[in-house]
Amino acid sequence: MSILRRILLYVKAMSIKFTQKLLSERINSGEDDQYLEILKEILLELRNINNKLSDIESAPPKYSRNDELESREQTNSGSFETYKSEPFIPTIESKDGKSKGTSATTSNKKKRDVSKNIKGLKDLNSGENDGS
Amino acid sequence: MAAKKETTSKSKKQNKDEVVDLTAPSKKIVSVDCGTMNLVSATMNEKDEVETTSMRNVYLPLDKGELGTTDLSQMSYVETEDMIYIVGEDAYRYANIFGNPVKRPMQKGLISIDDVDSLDVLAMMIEKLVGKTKNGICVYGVPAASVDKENDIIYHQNVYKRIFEELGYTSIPLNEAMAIIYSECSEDQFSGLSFSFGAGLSNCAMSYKGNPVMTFSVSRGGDWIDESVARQFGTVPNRITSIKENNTDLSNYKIGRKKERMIREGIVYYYTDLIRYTLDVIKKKINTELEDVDLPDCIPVIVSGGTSKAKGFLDLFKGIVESDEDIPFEIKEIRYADDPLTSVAEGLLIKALAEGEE
Repeated sequence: MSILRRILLYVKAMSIKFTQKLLSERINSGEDDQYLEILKEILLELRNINNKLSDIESAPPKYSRNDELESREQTNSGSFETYKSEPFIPTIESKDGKSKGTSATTSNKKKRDVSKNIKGLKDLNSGENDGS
Repeated sequence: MAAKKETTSKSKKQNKDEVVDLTAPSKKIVSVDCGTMNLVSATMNEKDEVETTSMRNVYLPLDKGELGTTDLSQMSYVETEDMIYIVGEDAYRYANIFGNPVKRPMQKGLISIDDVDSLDVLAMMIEKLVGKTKNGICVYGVPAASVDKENDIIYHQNVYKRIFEELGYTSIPLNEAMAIIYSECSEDQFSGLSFSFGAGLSNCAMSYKGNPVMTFSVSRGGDWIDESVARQFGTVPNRITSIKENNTDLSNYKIGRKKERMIREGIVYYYTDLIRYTLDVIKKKINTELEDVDLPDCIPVIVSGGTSKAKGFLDLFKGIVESDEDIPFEIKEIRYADDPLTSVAEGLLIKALAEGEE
């Protein structure tokens, strides 16, 4: 039975992956709302079935927020901690070990003379302008 | 001969005065506009260029156990022992694929404490944006308290203060609508009326020669428009955001398929209501709280904020203001900030540079 279940799990996982790919293509092409909504419902349903099968297979317990909070209080491994104690300085890394993250930001440069603005502000602060 | 020696001595003295202490670290000066939808930083580079960097203020938490064989190499993310946090624009992109909603560290213009991890992820995103330093100044934008909702900015302001100080910056908060005045109104001696139509809040400031006469916010912005229109049409706000930001012209909503035309019509109505609502607050404040105050003569009106970037917004805004006979001050002109998305960050930077030179 376990082999059959594993096969079923594999088939379900492939279905989810295919639906995810289809969904992302539809989103990028700007397709009709109704089609998108149907795809989302199918995806959710497949994920639910997948989760149930995983439970039957005695998969590791699902992520529990309470468990995470308790383990944080008990351990001091320097991993994810809230700012109540020390700040956590994360290591930004990808699975292949290289640093990532540049695509999250969008940068722009422009020549701008702000000297007049700065001087004006400093004059205001020093009271040289007539503020009345 | 004596004159020559004197000249030489004088030169040496000048050279001595010009010696710069190279051991003193130069201050890193940055600014951050802490918006509900976008975090925008600004800094001045060595070529006197203003460099702005923006990041979507969203993240997508994923349990590492759920990812399986998913390829993360094309995403921008941070990770901890058990969790992956996709940050920025990638979070939106992959939210639908993974079937999880994005999380936003800020809601309605202020830090949200609904998610226990949001502050830590926000700190990571800020660090990604401005980096760490040993000696820096950061001026960051804060909204004014809202007139139509009970909120205060104390917690919001102090959390950001802590985040920046832990990154090595001396942090200075500044009202974001006043930052627009500093950026755009130097020709008018920093007198003007500025609007920052953001995602969570819309901020407004009236300034007279750099002094804030009136600052306030209303709890309506781009998100309010999306949620209101979505409610009318029984769809999700994300869908409205997508339509609003793509091919929507507020002066002509009758384009696209029938349902999209109807949605665009709704978007126009809510934009109109947002502008009128904000103007009504201004009129009420001037007529009640500022009754005895001499208002500046003939001031410019500056419009900014991501929500104002919709095509046709400025014309819509002008039309509403110019047809309102009860506006209690003279308007010199109504114009956009040089860049509605970055003007707050640029104004904050100007303040930071002024502080850094003192």
